[in-house]
Amino acid sequence: MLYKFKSKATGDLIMLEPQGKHILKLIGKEPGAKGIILPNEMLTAIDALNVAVAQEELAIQAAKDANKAEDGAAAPAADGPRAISLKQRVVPFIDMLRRAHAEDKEVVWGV
Amino acid sequence: MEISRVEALSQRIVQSYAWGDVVWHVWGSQKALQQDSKADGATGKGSVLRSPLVLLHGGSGSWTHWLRNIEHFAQRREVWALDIPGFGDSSLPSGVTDADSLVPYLANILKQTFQGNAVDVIGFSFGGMTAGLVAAEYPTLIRQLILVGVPGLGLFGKELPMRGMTPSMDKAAQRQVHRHNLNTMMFVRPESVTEDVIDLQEVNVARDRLRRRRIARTNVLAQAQTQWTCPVHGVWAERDALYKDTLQQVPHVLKNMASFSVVPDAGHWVMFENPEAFHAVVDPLLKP
Repeated sequence: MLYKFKSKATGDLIMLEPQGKHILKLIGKEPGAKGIILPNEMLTAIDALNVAVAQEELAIQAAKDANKAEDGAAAPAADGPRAISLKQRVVPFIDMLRRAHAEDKEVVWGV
Repeated sequence: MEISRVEALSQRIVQSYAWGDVVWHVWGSQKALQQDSKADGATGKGSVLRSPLVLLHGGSGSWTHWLRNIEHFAQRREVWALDIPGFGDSSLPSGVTDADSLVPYLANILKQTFQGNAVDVIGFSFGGMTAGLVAAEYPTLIRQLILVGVPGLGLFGKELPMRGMTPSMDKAAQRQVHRHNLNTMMFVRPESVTEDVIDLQEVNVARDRLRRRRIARTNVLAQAQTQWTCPVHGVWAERDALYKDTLQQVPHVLKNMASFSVVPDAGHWVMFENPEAFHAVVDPLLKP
């Protein structure tokens, strides 16, 4: 399943199910098949996403510091699929909310 | 003509490599501004260094694929638009026939031009596929990559009904072929295909020396994505003829993209047909 976020103020933004669900949970929305974000909810949603990004960055930094402290040398690069940061993922979504808010249009998905 | 006007604002840089010449067009270059100001006896103080933004055109193209975007990006960035080897005014290295064999050449061009510093790249179609392969094989060269309507995902269906040229065709018939092909593959609105656009296309197609490329129809990029280390974003046109029934499969296939945005009211050549909507999507991606 895909989450296709739509707004009359912007083009569509498409996310895979796990990422879409994660972002909806972060902004306090039920990650169902359909939904709506109203303009008056958008600034709070943007704040929530920014807080989550800051928390993730702190966690990444703490993990790096812990690695350094452990072996005193540069940790080898992790194998396997790379982690895409929340910061990178949410950039277009935050912009969609900003633009939709500026034009007083809702963002919907699954409709 | 718009091309002459935009080109007149640029610095044309020709680099010589052992295998031939590479042509860049650069806008908003601080180096150029500083050189100018030195020549005028000024100090050049107060200038803020703008980070470079590399633009890679699509197949049968040249820097002019970005004609409607360069001035927008140059407001904030130093814009470097390349004629990819084998296209435009750049030489074709011997033995290069497709995106995969271009990879080491493009990597070396980026390395030499930006002294090994990682740069932001926007790659359209063939240029995006090639950049995606470079990002996989040479991860230190690209800081952030924006893919625009790229092939190499294994999602192409039937070939589009493109027309070919024959030697017996007169000029008018050739222009009709270009019009047909632009309408079929590049644009959704017939009025997008103006006489100027046909002029641009004629000049670019005539300089395409990689005519037998085939790799776009494979899933070469989907395979390479696991090696990406930089953030990669996808921007596709809502009505891209190459993804008519498969647009929604793109984020499934390119799972390693950080985001996937769709630009409304545009065909494959999205940044030319709907530049404002394209900029609205790309600008926030370029900020971080």
